[in-house]
Amino acid sequence: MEHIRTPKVENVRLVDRVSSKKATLGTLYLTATHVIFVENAPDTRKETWILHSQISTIEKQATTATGCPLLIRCKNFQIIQLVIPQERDCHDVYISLIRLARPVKYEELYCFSFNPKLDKEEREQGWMLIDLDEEYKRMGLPNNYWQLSDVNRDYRVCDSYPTEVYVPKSATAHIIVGSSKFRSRRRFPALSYYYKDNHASICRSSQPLSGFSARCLEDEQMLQAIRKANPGSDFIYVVDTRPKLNAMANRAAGKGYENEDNYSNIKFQFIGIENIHVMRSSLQKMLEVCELKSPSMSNFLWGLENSGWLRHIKAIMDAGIFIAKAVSEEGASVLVHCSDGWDRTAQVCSVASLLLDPHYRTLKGFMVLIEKDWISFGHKFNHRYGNLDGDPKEISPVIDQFIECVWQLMEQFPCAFEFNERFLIHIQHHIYSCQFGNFLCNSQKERQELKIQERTYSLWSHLWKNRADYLNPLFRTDHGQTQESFHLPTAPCNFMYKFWSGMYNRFEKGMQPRQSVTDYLMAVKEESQQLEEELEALEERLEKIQKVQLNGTKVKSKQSEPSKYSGFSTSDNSLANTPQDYSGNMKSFPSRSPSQGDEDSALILTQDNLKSSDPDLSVNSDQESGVEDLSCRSPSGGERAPSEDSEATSQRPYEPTTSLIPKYNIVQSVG
Amino acid sequence: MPLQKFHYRNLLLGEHDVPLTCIEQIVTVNDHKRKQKVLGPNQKLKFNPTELIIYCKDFRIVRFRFDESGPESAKKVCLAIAHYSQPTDLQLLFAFEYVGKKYHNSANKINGLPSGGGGGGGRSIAGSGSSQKTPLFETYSDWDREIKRTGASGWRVCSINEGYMISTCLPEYFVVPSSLADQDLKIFSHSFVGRRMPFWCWSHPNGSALVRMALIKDMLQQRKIDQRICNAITKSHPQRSDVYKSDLDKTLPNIQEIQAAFVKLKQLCVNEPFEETEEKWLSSLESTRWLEYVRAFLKHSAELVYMLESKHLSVVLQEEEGRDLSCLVASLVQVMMDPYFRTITGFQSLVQKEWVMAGYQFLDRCNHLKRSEKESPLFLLFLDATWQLLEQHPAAFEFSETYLAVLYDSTWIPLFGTFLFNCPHQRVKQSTEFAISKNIQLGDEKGLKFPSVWDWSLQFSARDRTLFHNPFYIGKSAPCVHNGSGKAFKRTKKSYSSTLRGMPSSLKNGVISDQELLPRRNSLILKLKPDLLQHTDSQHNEMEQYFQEWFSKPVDLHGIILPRVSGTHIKLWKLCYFRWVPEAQISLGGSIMAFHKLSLLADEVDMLSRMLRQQRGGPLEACYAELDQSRMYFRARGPHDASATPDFLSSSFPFSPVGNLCRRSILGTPLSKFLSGAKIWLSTETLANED
Repeated sequence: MEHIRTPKVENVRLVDRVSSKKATLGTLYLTATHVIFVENAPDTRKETWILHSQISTIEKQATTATGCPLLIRCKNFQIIQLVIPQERDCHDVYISLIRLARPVKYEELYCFSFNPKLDKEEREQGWMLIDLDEEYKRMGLPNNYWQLSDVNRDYRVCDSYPTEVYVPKSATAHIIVGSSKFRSRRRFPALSYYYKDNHASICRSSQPLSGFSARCLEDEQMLQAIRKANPGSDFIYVVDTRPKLNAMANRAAGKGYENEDNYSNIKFQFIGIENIHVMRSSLQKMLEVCELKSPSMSNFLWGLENSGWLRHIKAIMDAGIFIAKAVSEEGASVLVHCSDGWDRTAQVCSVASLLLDPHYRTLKGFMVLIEKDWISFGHKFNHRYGNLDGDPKEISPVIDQFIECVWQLMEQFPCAFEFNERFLIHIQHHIYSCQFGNFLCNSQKERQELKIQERTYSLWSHLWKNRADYLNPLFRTDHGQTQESFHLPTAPCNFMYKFWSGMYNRFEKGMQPRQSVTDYLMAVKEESQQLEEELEALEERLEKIQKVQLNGTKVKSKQSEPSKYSGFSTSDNSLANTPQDYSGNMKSFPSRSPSQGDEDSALILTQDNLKSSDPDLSVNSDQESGVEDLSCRSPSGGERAPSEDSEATSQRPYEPTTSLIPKYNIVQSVG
Repeated sequence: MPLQKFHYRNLLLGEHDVPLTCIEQIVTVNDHKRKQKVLGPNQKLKFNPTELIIYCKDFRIVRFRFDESGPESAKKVCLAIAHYSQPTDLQLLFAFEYVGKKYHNSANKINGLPSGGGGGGGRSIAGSGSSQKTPLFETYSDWDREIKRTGASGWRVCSINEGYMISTCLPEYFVVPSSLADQDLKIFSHSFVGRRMPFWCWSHPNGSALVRMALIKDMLQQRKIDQRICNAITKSHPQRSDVYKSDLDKTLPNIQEIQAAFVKLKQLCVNEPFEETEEKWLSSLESTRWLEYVRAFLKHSAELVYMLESKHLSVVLQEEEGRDLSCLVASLVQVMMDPYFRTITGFQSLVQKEWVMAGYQFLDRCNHLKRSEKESPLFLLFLDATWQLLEQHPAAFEFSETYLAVLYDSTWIPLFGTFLFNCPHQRVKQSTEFAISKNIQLGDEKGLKFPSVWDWSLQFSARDRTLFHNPFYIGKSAPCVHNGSGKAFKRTKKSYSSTLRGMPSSLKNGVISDQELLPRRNSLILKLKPDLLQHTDSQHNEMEQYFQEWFSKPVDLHGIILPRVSGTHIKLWKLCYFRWVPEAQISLGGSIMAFHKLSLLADEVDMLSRMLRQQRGGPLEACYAELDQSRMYFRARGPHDASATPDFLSSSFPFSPVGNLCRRSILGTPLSKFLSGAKIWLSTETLANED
């Protein structure tokens, strides 16, 4: 709190991004965790919340007659423009935010103050949801070829690796330690994914310290051990994900890449993915295009091409496809590295795993994948996403690119993923939000020292709890495609890759027609479920009636007339059976949204977003309104009076609303 | 790539058949001599071809190898195809031959001919529940019904052009302001290019009308006539609102520019190997200008929607001849504003009204006779723009993108009269001449009756036609927007409030509360009378605000839909342009996967509600009849149908790159034998007999 120079400024204007002439008047509040803008308009009092850790840049612009403009760009691609009447206030807000947005200690981050009102046990259970031991077991490990090594116990060999790593059985501690000394930051080759169908594997490491001629016997033995762990193939691929030029430049610094002559039976392959600096500026260029107001076709297409962003996405995908094909089609194991083996290597290994194994395309599987390839293997979340104040050159959208690769695949294979776009967007949001402890620090070791699991909550259990919101209604478990790896062409053409407006333009008003398809579909699914339940109920009722008839009860002739049941006339019925009818209902999705309890203010954004791609990030939504909404639109609800003077109904009162709602809730939670 | 098991069968064409009108270019190749020649009509071929490549208008590239055929016969075949695909006269097109035969045959039998006019009405889709006929607007009553449907007061059907006495490029019947007398119209008509005097397209429920007209060529009279016309249109407006004129020639790309863009687009998407354009894909796409033009038309049309809807102004589209850009803009405005035109029947009636009857020169623009310098793909541009709207508002349309693509392909099938002529008069004139020369008794008929493209049963089986249906759009809308009854349009308007009623209460209080504030009938606006011919700054802002407000509200799918037109939102219509390109195909991927799943669900919902109706004691027979009538191509076998996805699905579905003969597996088919009888095979007579 000591950094807040002024906690409240009145008569601030929030400028509309689309038409700069429109602005809403309100009050700006600075709190320890958020910037909050509250509209003055008495009927709405709309609130816009921005988490400090989401702030990417703050720009104070030249003072005008109306006041002093302040431009805030967020890491989740939201842009907020405020005009503060007094220059002095603006300066205070600016200075405060500069400091608040760049905490110097982990303890200042939101996750240490965030309290979702769970007890200790629940928190601990949350952290246990994703279990890597289980995951390796699922892969079929340990087995005759691979074992769990304790060589990195207490991070003795490599401080950015996990303590538990799988290595070939034939790799002794001596070999591993020797190899680690020949690798950047001692990141020795370790298993990332094991493909039990044919014993091929994906391993990862950093670059070798080969310089122009250096050799290391243990490192050569290590690679041989990996090859021998796969009896089906007499060679392994070594994939250097860097452009060849970059790798060669590294040789001058005593690093570099494997010399094929020194290692027996390796096939060496460069795949040119650019480094973090190129990627950072590429994203910057693309975001400039996104900021254009209603860009022309040429502004947009040229801008997008010049940013190179989609070309980089394609490079990552191509690398993933190469590895997935090597493993599944050639049955060869692959060792992947870049320079330090924690950025491009993480991207490529996880894309390849996702292509190979349908498990990673499920909700839980995807969490496991991030836990395995990113969190446990020391992806430097703190540096890359600028959680603490640090070197701006370390910042780069590495995991953003991986998340986009997944989205590109989802677009190409809409039925292959259990989760939807919203899931990806929320994960991206929380990587920057620091609301949960999962992505803190640069390595497992640091997280352990900070006692993250005792002091913060896990995002995974939070997402899992709200999984109904993240399900892809198109997902088919029985579907051939989900059982196996994709049938991908060697390298999909450039035109397959699309601009992800759902991510980068997600704060633009009323975006995302495509995502709304998913929402419609969810609504149709629910409708279908309801109709079925109603059908069941009616059948039961019919049975009753028939029993009554059998008992010799005289049935009034009126009863058999359809007009009797005017409540069910076909026209009423048809009202509820078209997807168009859900245009209202889809707006109710926000209400069931994930994060939305009051605890999760981090996600609270402007109400405009209710209509945008990510409608769920809403505020004050009524948890029950979705249910209400559906029940009132159910074909039977409301329109139907249970007191119709038929004997059957009076004997067994039919209460559609009460019987439907609980079932509806079950449907929701089971998904 | 494995051969696909699935084939979307066109009943008129075999898998590798190419209608002669569908041929864009014929290239003969000799491998050994490394020679290549584009074959025009009456040309000589100095080498024996080893290969024939046919570039098709529907984006296929078909290649025939002559490895096993005699060199001379190969040459003959190539020359014959070149000859017959470039006829010198309209009456040599297949439709004439075909219809001539039909008439001769029906002279013996009694009713051998499909009913309908210049094209035969044709029920749109059998078994779909929407079996209304597509109005062709050839008769007085079709126009009269349209006036009533839109509730347009102050407009009347005018029959001064009966027998095409006034203008040969206007329909016989059209709609004009009630205050203009026939006598005045006759006098005015002389001043207009092509004697195309102003005629009505559509009216908004608020009374604003959409009108199109050609330029007034008579400079002396220009001011006076212009004034008279505008006054008459104002008088026809219940609020006596002003007229907004939109000069399309000044604001939109011209037909040559559009043609140039299309040629480049085809070069990029279809003809060029992809490797060459890989790195520069986005900029290459941009430099075709195609998407920019799609955007320009959508943007301009949306601005006119604003004038009609929010400013309550009648809009006059002005263009030199008034039969090119006007067709496109008038149709787009109506697709955006009137939900009826987003149904299959409605869309077809729109094409009849604003294209076929309004004198869009299909013959020249499609270049069926391969000699016109006037070729331009305006109709495709319209389908593309419609696709953009469909893409942005998937649940607002009864039809699917397959329907749009198939409709485009149908413009290249010379059997249908719909897309063969420059105007209705040309059909009557040419076919009467033809009838006389062939001794066909026409009786009372005005010219020959050609099959209509809207009779889809001629091309596709009932089951295949269900692919035209958009699974998002099932249910009430179909019976609700009947054609031909005045109440229908108003009824759909009611659904404004019905969508609101369904809104969760929390939203009613919050986000959409500004709904009421929208100046729908804001009298202030009406009082303003700025110079509308100039876009002033404030005017521009008002329009921006109108769009913004529209986009910030939930969309009413039965009301107006507007496109987003920033560069981010205009997309390439991949299904149309990429469907024959194997590299672009995603096996078991693409939006068809969603379509499939959605269809099952939609079908399930349909089925369940039918069962419910049955339980509730509706007439049993009706229920049984209904049970058989799924509107979906992919059907659910019961609740929670978990049957596997058919493995033939790909992003190009229902088209398949295998139909493209450039695949190697086609080599070795005994084409030589097949083609050696070219003379007989290519004769239209035998084809007609086969029918």
